[in-house]
Amino acid sequence: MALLTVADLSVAAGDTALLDGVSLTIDEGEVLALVGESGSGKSLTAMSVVRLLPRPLAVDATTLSLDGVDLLTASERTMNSVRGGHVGVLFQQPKRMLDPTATAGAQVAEPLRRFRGMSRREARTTAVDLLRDVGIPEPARRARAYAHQLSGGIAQRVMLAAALAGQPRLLIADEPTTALDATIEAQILRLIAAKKAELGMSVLFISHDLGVVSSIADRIAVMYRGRIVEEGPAEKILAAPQHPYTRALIACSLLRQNSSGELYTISERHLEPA
Amino acid sequence: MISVDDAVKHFPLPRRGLRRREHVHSLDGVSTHVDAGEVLGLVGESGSGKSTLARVILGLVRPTTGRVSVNGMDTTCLTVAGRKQLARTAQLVFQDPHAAMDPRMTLGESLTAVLAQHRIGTRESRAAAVSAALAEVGLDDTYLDRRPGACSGGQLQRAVIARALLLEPKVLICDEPTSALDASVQARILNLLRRLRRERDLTMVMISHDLRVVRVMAERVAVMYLGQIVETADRDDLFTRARHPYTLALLDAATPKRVTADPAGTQASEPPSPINPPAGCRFHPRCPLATDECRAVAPELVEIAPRHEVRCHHWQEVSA
Repeated sequence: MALLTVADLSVAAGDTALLDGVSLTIDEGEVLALVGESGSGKSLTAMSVVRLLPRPLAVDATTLSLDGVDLLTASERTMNSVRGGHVGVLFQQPKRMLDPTATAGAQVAEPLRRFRGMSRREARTTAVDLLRDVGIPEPARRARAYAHQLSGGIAQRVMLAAALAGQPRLLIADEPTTALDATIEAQILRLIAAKKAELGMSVLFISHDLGVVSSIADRIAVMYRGRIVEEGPAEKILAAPQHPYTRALIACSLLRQNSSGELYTISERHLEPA
Repeated sequence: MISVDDAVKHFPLPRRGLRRREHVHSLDGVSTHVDAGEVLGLVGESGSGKSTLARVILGLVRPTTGRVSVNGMDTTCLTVAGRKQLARTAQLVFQDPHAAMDPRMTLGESLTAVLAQHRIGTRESRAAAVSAALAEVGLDDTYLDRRPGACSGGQLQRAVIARALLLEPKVLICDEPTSALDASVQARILNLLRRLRRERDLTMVMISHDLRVVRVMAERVAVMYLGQIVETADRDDLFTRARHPYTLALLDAATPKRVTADPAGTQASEPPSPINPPAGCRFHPRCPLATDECRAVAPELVEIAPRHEVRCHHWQEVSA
């Protein structure tokens, strides 16, 4: 059953269309990856779902629903419980996204108090349990640390613990491993996969890196200039891409070389439909 | 062209109370050399000392001990005149082009300033040289009057490369030049660097955490871990016959494979801190082959085949 349904989503800044008729669904327990280059509209799509776009942008869609909630008509009050409650979000730069003035423990405890009605004391001990759950060694000590005292990998785990605290049905992971080293990246991907399976969440995974996507996605949607140009099961998109842009993007990210030893690049001719 | 002999760089940390002052061991006895016209790839995780090594080579950071020379010139203690002379031999391309360019100057002004600084040419000849340099990296004259804020990352990285090549250096050191760029832009910039290297016969050091980039760019690769070189080999040897467990872990992490939902193996294991590097072999806390010997005795870099060196007690037991 579809957890998230987006139909014909368009976002415009004045006369400039930023998203043009984006439609996608995510089933329960499914990982959908949105792939594309900067400016293709990946993050914009995700931020439309939680209605966190700046006001001057005009958002229009025929359907935008999550877990039975109509996000188009929902009140701001409802949206506040959707964000953090139904949806958890991981960002690219965890150390910047964490509040520099609050301890890791406090940031995980906040959604526990807010969405699960825990007392201060209960939230504090549960936060430490959650930090342990996301594989952080010495969770009680780390709970007292501030963002600047954490490494990027640990900070991303803290973000994940905070995102999971509200028991979300959907996790939006926006380039969650882009700023991390390869070995740490692999650990975080394993962790997301394990938590997804354990909690039965769905994941909207945003990345420009097809290597990362191939390791975690069930389905892939390729975005280019505000549109989804190709969408399908991950193995199929990676092994037999149909759209010329997808083919070019794959060749590019693998740094494939042509017969004269030049690396493949994407040129305008790839952008016309086959 | 570049020779580094036993370079050590320790950055002192602020004193805390009455405890002894601690140091970040960024480089601990690094020796390497790059022949003229060669491209050396430098890989390793954050904190392994890659960027410090680049800065030591360029004389931007003074090593605690050790000898470093570029084209026969000692870069460990440069005079103002020496620094200017080195700038005409060796140049650096940074990771973030937006940080590398002055946001208030147009690209034309930024590039012209380099020539003016070195008192090269007249006003007219400088303008011609700047537009030729931009043309060489694929930017036309309309970019002369643009400020960095009006350029994309790829366009700006081209301008950074053009600026680095204005003084016609023999050596180009690239510190993660494409890490901040999209896949298609990355491929274009790498194509550009490869063409420039061919045409100008540049000696290059290519720093990257991305093994794919190093594989297409470098002829020889050095792998760094916590301030030391742990393995160095010709490119093909490194990718097919690596012998250091850390190199193998990096190669493995770079190969995309399906992650499993297994709750085991989700514990965090972070690289040990360069403030107090582990005793013995620095990789032993993360190494699957670690023995008592590894915990006690630091291995030396040994040559196991021509041009292939490994810093591991157990390299014979490791197979790629």
